[in-house]
Amino acid sequence: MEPSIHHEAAAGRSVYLIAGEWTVDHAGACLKATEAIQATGRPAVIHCGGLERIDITGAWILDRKIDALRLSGADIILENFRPEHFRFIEHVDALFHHTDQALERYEEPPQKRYRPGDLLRRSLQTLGEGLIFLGKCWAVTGHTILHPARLRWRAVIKQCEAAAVRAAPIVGMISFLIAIVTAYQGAAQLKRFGAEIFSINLVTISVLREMGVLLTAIMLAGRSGSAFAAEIGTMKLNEEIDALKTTGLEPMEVLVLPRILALVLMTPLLTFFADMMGLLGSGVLTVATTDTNWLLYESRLTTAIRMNDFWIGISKAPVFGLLIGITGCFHGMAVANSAESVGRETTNAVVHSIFLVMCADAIFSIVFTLLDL
Amino acid sequence: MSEPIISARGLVNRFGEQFVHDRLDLDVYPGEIFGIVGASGTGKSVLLRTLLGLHQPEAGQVSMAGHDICGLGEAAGRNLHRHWGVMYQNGALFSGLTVIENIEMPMAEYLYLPEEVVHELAMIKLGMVGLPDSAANKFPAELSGGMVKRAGLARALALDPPLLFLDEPTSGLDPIAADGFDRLILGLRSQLGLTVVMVTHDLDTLFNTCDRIGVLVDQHMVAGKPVDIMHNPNPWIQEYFGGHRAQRALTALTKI
Repeated sequence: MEPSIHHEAAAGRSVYLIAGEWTVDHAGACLKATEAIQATGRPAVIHCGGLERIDITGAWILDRKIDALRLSGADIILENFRPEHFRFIEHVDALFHHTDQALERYEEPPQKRYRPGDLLRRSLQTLGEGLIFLGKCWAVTGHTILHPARLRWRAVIKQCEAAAVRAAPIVGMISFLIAIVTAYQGAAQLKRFGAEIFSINLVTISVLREMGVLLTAIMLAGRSGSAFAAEIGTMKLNEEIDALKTTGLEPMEVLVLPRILALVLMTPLLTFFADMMGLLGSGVLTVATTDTNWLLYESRLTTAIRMNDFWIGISKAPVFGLLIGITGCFHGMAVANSAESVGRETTNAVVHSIFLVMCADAIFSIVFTLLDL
Repeated sequence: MSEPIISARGLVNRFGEQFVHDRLDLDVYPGEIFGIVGASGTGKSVLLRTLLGLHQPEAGQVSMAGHDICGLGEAAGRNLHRHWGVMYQNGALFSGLTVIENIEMPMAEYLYLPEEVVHELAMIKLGMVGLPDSAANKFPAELSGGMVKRAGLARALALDPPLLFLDEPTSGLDPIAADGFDRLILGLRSQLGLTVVMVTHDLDTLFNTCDRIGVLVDQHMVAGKPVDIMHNPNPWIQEYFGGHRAQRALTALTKI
């Protein structure tokens, strides 16, 4: 039965009849029922004859009301509590007393306040930690160059497969589609000048110099950067990193180096694949929409692009791979304590690696322009 | 004896060719502390997961307080789940929440109570398991192993469940903390009239707290009072309870 309290006024005192199940299942109704008890100035009798069942939750809800009334000076008498309902009453008394004290002592955890400069300070701290991590990477790389036998080829190959071979279909597909889109838009604009055919130059040069490598890098950041951070982060939560260390293995060597190396080796290959798919995409569109055939497309292509364009794109790839690998592993190692931090660091890994790739690309652009390439 | 609160009949669980349970029967009665033991790989965890409805058995049925849990839908299952408290071996506390938030979570989810009352109730549960109130605002990663177990128990008790499942409650605790935990469980049982099902390898806990013991041997369960179980002729049971550790735990117990 639902918990209830009936109020009866009787000879100079208020009588409250408690009935029903005062249990956790009816917690909301219990709280509502206690509103019936009010300070009237007369002594109040709480009569528990109709009580069917009571548990800690129900008892507390009743108790806090009684306490509040007693504090406000009301005289309250408890009547007819049956021992079978409240065989834990002594325990509850002690417990509630203890809890009252605990609640008085309880301090809300300090709210996090953001002060100006916090963001900057945190960013600088991350940057500092990143640089330390970079240093460790160099140290372990140097060590591995001196002791090449220590390199874990199996891990490297496994990472190559996961990061590149499995990414190839999606990278190729995106590059193909983006090339089609660019070729289509380019052709539509250039048509106005009667220079439609130059859309081949537009698309192929942009694919080879920028788009192929950037799309690959963004895809890798999303696929592999996040995977590195989540894998290493979960291992860290699971104390696997500590286990590696106490087994005498260096996590940087076992986990980090193979992953970074795999990305450095594989990004150029993936970029090459993306380039080829881009050229194919632009070819498909050109042949389909103009009266060019594949032979003509091929000859336009060879006059439009120089080998330089291709090499410039490819040369950026290992650098991007390096940035993504280092960022992903760094954020994985930065995971601490909670599942939440795995999520946060994984997000950071993707965001930061794409950001770094873009920065590096801008620097490359400037350098290549200065070098007149 | 009264009606069993948990009753499993003809449970079959197997992985591939290997049978873990073969027509296993199990009864747990209200108000008792029932200990499940068995060698590694005899399916203690699978049994616990089956009872909790987390694992669908190949055959057989489990009824909890009269409800068949195998054929239950999502909503009915959830409703039944809130009447059980489960303490996991490693606490399984939500790592992103503080201890008090962990305890408040099931209450906030199920009870239509204002935040302050939920907080007060959570503080009661914190006191019930003997955690200092300074632990309230700590994150699970900042707690010791024993405190994690206690916090896990407090969360299991959040909704005043009549039935409590404990997975290895004292594993990884020092003997003093383990004794404290045994007393805590006995105390909760006598005060709240809880029914407790625990998987444990701690012989002290087994002899100190359990009213009945169920031993998983040969894909079946042999259940009975500790004294009866110890005289069971099964070789594994004889070895388990006849070993040095068991004898030591037993002599220590009789000395008291």
